[in-house]
Amino acid sequence: MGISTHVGYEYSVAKDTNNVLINDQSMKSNLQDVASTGGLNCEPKACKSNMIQPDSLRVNVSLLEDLMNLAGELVLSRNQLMQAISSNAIHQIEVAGQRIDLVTSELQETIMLTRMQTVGNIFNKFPRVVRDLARTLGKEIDLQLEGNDVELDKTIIEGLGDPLTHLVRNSADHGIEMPDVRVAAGKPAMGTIVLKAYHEAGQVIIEIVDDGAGLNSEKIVAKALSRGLISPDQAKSMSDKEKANLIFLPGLSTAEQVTDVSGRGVGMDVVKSNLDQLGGQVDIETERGRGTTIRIKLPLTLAIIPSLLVSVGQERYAIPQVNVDELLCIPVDQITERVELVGDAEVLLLRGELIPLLYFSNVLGLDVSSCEASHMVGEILRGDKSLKEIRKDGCASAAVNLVVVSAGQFRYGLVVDQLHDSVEIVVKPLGRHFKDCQGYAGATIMGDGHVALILDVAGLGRLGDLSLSIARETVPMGKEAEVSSAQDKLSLFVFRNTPQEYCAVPLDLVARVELIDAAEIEEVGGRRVIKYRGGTLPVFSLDQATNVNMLDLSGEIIVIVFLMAGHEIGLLAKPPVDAIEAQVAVDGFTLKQPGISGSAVIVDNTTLLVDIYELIQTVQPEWFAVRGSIESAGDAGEVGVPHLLLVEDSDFFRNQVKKFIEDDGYTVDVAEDGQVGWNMLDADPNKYDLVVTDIAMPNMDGFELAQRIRKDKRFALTPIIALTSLAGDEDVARGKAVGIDDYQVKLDKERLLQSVYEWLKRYAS
Amino acid sequence: MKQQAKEKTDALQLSCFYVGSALCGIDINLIQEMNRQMETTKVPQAPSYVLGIMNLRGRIVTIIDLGLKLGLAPSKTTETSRIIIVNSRDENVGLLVDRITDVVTSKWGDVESNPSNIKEVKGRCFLGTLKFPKGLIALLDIGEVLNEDL
Repeated sequence: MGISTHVGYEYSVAKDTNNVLINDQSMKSNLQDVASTGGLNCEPKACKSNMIQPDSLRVNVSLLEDLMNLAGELVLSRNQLMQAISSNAIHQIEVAGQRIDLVTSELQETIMLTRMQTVGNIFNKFPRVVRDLARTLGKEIDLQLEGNDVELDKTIIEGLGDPLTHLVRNSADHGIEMPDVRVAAGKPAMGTIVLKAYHEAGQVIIEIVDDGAGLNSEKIVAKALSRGLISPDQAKSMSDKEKANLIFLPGLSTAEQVTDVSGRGVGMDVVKSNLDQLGGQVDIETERGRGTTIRIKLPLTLAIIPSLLVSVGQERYAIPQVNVDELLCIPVDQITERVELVGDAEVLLLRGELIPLLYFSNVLGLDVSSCEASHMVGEILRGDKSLKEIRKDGCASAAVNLVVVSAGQFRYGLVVDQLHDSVEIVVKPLGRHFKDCQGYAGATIMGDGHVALILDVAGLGRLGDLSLSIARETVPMGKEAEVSSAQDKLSLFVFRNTPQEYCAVPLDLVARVELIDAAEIEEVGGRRVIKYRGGTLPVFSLDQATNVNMLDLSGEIIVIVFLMAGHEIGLLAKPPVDAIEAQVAVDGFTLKQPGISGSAVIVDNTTLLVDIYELIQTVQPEWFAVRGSIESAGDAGEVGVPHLLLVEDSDFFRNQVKKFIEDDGYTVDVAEDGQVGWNMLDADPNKYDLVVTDIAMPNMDGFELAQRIRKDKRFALTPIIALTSLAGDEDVARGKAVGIDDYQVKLDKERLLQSVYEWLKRYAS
Repeated sequence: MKQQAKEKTDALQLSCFYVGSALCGIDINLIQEMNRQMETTKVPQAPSYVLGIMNLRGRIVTIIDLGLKLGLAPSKTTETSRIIIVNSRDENVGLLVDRITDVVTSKWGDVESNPSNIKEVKGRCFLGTLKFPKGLIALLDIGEVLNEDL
């Protein structure tokens, strides 16, 4: 392929696709293969897919020995059990039962371990692939492998080979430019592809990063438009990231010419569907001329997934925990306030967000009797039944249980009759007669031997006609609404110190909330701790650090867990708690005191806004010693005292952020919106070393400000850190596109200061 | 399947059962087990002839109402009902039948082709018929019966 015609990436789908493009049906059978070999007690099967699976597996001898031991134990326990049963010795039966329980769970874990393989197994073939490719193409490519020893389930490793090969070849073929082009663009002649695997939040991430030409998103959009895959309106509202992600749509190929390197008939859509089968998500980020990052998120294992059990009617269903966002329980008398009818559709109002409600009975055509909780919402809203009648029906104490789920672009509330436990389930495939059923991801066998279906959240969404286009449209609309209101909403977590003392902390700072009994609090070494997730968690109450009433340490206690300076700490409080999103006027004077940054009136109650940093600094001063050194390092910089510009429209946040940046030894000037900020920058171009800006502001928002700063040569290198209360992926991508260097959550003091420090250092160098 | 079986051996053992009032048979080699467990989990949205799924020693087995699948009356679950587990295309499938009778031994050579008035779907589901003192046995073609596209 000639260099001159080479415009960015060209992902290709060959014309004769018979043997490679996989149709729906075989896709499904692939999925079943994957899932069934994922099950523990499924026999190995001849694989019908075109993936070649090795029929032997290399297992560590010590692991095998463990297994042998466990198998021996199991036989022994069985013998004990049989003996105990025949002699009818209840106690011995119990003992044997416990033993078997222990041995089997250990056996299960050990067997799972045998399935774990390192990604090195697939990574190691790439140096050769890339070397050969580089030679054929006349390019210079350096492949760097990282995280070879990250382990993944065998089935995932096997399924990953093909898509990964495709992506790496794509990067080498289309991503990296010819050496002369690279030199002309001011890049080193040798291109770099980094293939990297690492753990993040219980998932494994695999990244393919190249420093090549990047994707031509305009070309992709044009192609998608001409194929009718998206509408012009959609194209207009799309972010660059969304545009880049269009290449995963089937039937989209921007290649004018198929090369023998990557035009092997496998398009990016097949890569994506292959990864989908593995339960993976793939995401693409690209910058013209700078390179492309493809990020694949994979579950550790397919065989066992944590799930939430719910029941509807007589049957139980499992919802994979990854899809569960939150659980809600709405008492019947609040239904009219929390749920609205939009046309015929029921929508839940959740912290200002509209969430469509979906009913099992409608989506799956279940027959639900009138007293089922899931029916009440509609009846109440449509006035079919009054509250009184519902009560009379025997559902008096009932509340409507909702599971807010999300998958891909779907987010909706599923109305269920009952919420049960969260359990780890073994996924079993469904038979081929269910291939037309969209709503299920498989089935599982419960402890009592019954079978429960596993719900496919995205599939249900499709069944429920929650069309994607609508979901997509609502996102930008929501954003616009926020920008136009031009006021930061505070997401607050509200709790009580004493029954009359209302307190709140920013929701973003809350890592978790636990409900414990007061008796669980121990006093060790003069400190209060609780046992928490296998460790000890230091806890403190507000009255230890600030002047409020004593917390009553009896009965139920809420522990609000914060992650601070790399440590976890719990704040003790009293229920009830609530999470609200509201535009509140913060009074930073009347009730201001150490540990309390101010007060606000929230739902008719004067609420203290807790400054969690100050509090923890008081309670655990030693945690913050480390950052002292960073401060001094910052001060020792050659630039003297760095001058920061803080652009933020909300008084409360502006004062807070300004205060803690100043505390760290920087000089801070403030501006209340982007326009004012820009004027200040423009007036004195050399004054500021770094800009910290909010995103949602009146007159000129953070994106526009960043764009303006970047366009101006005088500030081309000035670091911009954006502050946000909503750091969604979309926002981050958009920010990166307009030149924002880093994103930090508002009030996450530690991170922000760390970021300020690092960027200043980089700027100085 | 018809051809292969004939070539391999002429001997034929049929496991017979009633679906409604029709006497049917399956080549015994295709049957994995018979079973009286009747507890199924319904699968909403599934084809109507699918009764649900069942836990068979840790495997999920699809249970099919053979009566409905053959276009006859739906089977009723009674004392005599049984589930015949067959292995089809690497998957276990259970067939709900009304009553199980004997195993009969015969020869493939004796299997007569379907009467010409059985047509369409039903015709495809039967390999042929076998005359037997008690009556006619319809020989089921499991591959076709379990064809999910019919």
